[in-house]
Amino acid sequence: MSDVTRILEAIEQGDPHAADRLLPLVYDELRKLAARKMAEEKPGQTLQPTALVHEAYLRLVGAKPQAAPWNSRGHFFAAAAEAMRRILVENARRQASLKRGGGRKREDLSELDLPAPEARDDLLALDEALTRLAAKDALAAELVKLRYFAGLTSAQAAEALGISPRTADRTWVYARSWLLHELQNG
Amino acid sequence: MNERSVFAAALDIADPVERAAYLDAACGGDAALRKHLDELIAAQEKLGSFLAKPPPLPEGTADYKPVAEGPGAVVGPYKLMEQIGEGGFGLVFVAEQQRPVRRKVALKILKPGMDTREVIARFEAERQALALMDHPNIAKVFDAGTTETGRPYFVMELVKGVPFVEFCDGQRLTTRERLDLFLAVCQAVQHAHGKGVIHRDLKPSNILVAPHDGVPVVKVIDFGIAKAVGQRLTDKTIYTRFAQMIGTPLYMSPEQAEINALDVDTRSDVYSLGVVLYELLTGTTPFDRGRFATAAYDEIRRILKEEEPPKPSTRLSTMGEPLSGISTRRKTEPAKLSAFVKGDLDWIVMKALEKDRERRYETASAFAADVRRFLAEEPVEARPPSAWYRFRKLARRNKAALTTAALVAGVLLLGTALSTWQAVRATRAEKTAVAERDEREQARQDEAEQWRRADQNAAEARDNALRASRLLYVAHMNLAQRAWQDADVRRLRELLDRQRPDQSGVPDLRGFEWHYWRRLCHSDRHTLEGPANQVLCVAFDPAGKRLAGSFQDGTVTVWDPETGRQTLSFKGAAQPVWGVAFSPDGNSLAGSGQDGFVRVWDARTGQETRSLRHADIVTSVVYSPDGTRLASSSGDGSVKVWDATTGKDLFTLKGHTNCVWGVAFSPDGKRLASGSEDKTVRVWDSENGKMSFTLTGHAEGVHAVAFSPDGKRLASGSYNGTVKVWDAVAGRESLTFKGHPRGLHGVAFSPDGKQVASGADRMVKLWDAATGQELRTLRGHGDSVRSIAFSPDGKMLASGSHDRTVKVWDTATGQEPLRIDGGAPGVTAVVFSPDGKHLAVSSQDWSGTVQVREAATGRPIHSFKGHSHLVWSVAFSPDGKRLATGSQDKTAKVWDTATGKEIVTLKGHADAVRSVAFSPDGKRLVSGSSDGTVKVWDAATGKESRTLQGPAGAVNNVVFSPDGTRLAGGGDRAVRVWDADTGREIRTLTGLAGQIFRVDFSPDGWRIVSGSMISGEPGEIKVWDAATGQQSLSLRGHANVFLSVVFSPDGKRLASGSWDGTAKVWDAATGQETLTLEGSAAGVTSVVFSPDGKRLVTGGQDGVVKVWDATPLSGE
Repeated sequence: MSDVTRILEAIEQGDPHAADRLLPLVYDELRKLAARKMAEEKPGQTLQPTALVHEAYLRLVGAKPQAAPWNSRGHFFAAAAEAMRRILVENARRQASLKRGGGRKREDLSELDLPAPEARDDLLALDEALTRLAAKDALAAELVKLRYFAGLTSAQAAEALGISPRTADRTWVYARSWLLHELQNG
Repeated sequence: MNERSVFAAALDIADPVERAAYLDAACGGDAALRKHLDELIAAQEKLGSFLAKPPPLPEGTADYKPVAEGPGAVVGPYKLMEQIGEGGFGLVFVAEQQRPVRRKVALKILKPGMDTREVIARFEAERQALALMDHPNIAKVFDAGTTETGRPYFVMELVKGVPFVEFCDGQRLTTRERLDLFLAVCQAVQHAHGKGVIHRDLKPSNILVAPHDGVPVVKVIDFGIAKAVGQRLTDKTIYTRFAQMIGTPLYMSPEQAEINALDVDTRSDVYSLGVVLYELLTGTTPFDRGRFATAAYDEIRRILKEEEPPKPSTRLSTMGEPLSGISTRRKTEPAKLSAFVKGDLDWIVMKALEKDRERRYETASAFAADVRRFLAEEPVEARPPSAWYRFRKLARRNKAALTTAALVAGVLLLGTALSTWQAVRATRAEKTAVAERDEREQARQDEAEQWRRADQNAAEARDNALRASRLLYVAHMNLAQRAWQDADVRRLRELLDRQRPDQSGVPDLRGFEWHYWRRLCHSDRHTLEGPANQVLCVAFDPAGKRLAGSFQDGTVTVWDPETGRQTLSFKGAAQPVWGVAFSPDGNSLAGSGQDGFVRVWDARTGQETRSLRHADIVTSVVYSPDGTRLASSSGDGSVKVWDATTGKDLFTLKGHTNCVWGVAFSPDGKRLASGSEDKTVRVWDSENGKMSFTLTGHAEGVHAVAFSPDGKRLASGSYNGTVKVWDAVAGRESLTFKGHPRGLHGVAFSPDGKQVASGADRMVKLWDAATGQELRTLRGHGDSVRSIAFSPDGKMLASGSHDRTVKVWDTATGQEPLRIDGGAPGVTAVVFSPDGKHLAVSSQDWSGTVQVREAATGRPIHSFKGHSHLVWSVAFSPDGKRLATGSQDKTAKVWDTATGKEIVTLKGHADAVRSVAFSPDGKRLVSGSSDGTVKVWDAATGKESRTLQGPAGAVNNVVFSPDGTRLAGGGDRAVRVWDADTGREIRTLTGLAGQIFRVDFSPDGWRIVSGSMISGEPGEIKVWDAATGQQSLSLRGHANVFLSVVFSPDGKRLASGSWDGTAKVWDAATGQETLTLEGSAAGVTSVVFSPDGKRLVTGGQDGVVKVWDATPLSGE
């Protein structure tokens, strides 16, 4: 039995700290997978989070997601979505700080860098808005993580959250509208 | 109910009034909630694809291990040593390369944050062009790759130098010394441009100077890097990436600063060179560093596009205090420095820095030429701009504003005039009316000028697009030449295909060179295909009527080699059939397979008649010459001999210690030779299986063996590309042929024993079996050649390849041009008859004989004998019925081409007649002589009608314009153009060096090309505008004195021949080389296009005439 399977079982049995132990494992695995995939990809292809999350499940749980009980899958995907969110946001932060000249040596000033708009600002702003949404409507925020960062389909996300597909769809429209409004006016 | 539920419920209500009512009720007076819901619903309507797709993982996500490469780290085959630089791109290290050669290189690792795959892909696309660059002032780029942490790196020639400006200041070089170094930089850039490579990031830190034997030598580094890193600023992400990676915009041309800088061309580099020169002269860049540091990108773009930098001398004089330091670093005083720069140098720099690249120097070499003129105190090409030009520039910048202003002014003036008309006296009014009319006229003209300007801008854009297509075409043709040399026919085809005009209105730029390469790609007699699978072996039947090929998938296919028609194809085995052979009676086919069996099939039906188990992979199979036995070789190192009739295993030859690749019977059937991966060739007695001797000497596995037809010699080929010929009786090595790349799989003796053929990599080579001289190379396969076979009559050669085809080649012609060797000494002239069917050739034969030959075959038709000394020039009359000749014996003669009889002798020149030409109507003849004159004659009577004085010295060449109205003749350092009817001098083209050897009019008569011979120098080929006498192009590229130059019949190409042994074809519009032909090692003395422009004939100093065919293949 893998560590992750054990943790998933612990979550099922109500261990309040189990979820906290799950996240680092998933996070680690996703980063490794991303690094390896990135090296294998052909030019012109981009890597989608969905595939990574599913592969991470396979590797960590040792079974196809379809084979596991839905609730344990749900916990896993929640952790994976959070991990993907962190990876992407951290990356965007690093890019932004690079651009602001963080950590650059003095000598570089002889080769003046062009001032430029922040490429990853969009993602960072979205993440901030998402935090505000989570304070207001946790389910909506959770759904965004699953669908947007982990790339789950509507049905998969509904299942992971234990809500009906109809509720998931309505919540999805609400969350997107809320975030879009926030980004445009916030 | 929370906000989400209310929102969802509201969305379910389609009717807006109902929806509003529901919302009012649901919010129950909570105004803030009510407002927010409206906002959310509004946002919902604009959702589109917002968050619809997960964000892709950016490249940076991958650096899971945050290890930075540093000294001691290993990157690919390179070991990093010390760090030597850090710039906008990334870090630069000295690195040691271990294999394949041990050397030190510079390794540049880019900063993280780029799409590594894109960078590497772009580098790969540029790699071939980069490989073409070979110049002492250019640092080579060897390689590119990805580090373990996913960052792209480039490997370059290690240059231990100091950045350009730093070096000049450090060494306190005078301005003159600086200019000398700058010229070398221009030459290096020009070389790269000639190979189709644009630098895109020229700046002092990319131009290094290192002392070499006490002399400073410049090296331009980073060619190809900027392009690989990416300059396409098509979207925001890439834009950001660009901003991060490209160091500084200070040296960037206005067009490069565009967000969509797609049409960067060689003139962008000219601009950057201008900035470098500006800095060399003044110590500062045209635009202020500090200002660029603080400005937003849009502002920088605006500055680059609109602001006029101060002239270098103005910059120096307004500098104040720092000027003394700048002067001291140039070993001069402030006043002297300003005076030196003011004027010509100002204009040279400003011309290079023109915003409009049309107004810049066309090329880096034109830029250098002007600097050189300045140094030689000759008048420079650059000029201060006129007031009108300045106005136009202003107008262009403020086009919209100015147009409106002009119109408004017109209307206002009209109004004013009307009121004035009513108010003032008649005389005054009249004056005003006139003024008003004038002003209105002016306004109208201004507006017209704006429209004209807009049209012109559009036309310029079209011209630029065309120019870019031309440059690309030429670059592709240069790569095509390279691909052919590398026998990379697949790449060649791909390059040619890219130049096929598509539907998008791209002009068809294809010319002689394109069709020439296309023919070469298809110069085999047949390309045969079987199942879509790799061909492993080919064999002719003893009658030469059938050709068999065996395939990777186990198929055996038989074709008629004459027609290329497939006659039989059957699945011989389930696994690859490595060897195939016809029985001497032609009734059976034997095959050897991966599955360990030797199989025999009926050669008519493909029915299997026998299968013999050999064990392990059976690599080859052959019949004994009498057909009674079969020999097969195997992967386990054994060779087996079988009774072909009974299938009995007669004996096994044991001795090889590794896989045996090939086996051959001697023609008398008494011996067997085998070649093995154990690097040896063994010869056996085929009667008893005893080994006679072992031949050692190959450095790698022997993959093929073949006996000569007389059985006295044995040829063997090793995988490493070496072919050896052995004395098969004494067992001694007699010859080694080297010249193949690695990957040799086939060797064959021609049936007459005179040639050895070998197939390796993508080519087949033919060698003289007695001397080892390489005779020819047959290129055309797109992948490794596996097997080759001569037809029994030796006229055909078949080759089977991994490219899934079998090619049948004509061994007599191969891919060489038609070669006519008349046995005469050096060719002085060669011309086509007007119908293109015949060639007249004169040579340095002192008996003065001229030969007329059939152009298609080289067959001699007539000899024209009558001159008493060598003939310099020949010309056909326009109807082809007469031939004129000019001779060292001071006469010209006219002959009847049908009978070979002399019609008339033209006497009058006091020295050798160097050139003769008919007028287009055939009625007159013009001659140029070493006596310095040009004479016009009545071609029928031979009566002299006029004598014209040439420019100076001997008139080496004189021609009629295509319409017959003008004559052009070249002499010493000048070309003179006369009115052909009156003999009046129209113009003399000067500014040339050396003896003008050749002059030709373009077919439309608008351009003249002149070629001059300068002792010890490559000479000059220049193209002139015949109407204005302005020089429009200068062609450089020949490495030695060039001897001949002509326009193609369509005027789009020029061909030239040189003592460097080559003939070159040039694009007459841009002056760029499009093709180089190895005409004659002794020197190409004459070149001529056939009247249809589809063939090019070269005459050599060795007396050989070659016909190069570029006749379009059917379907083109």
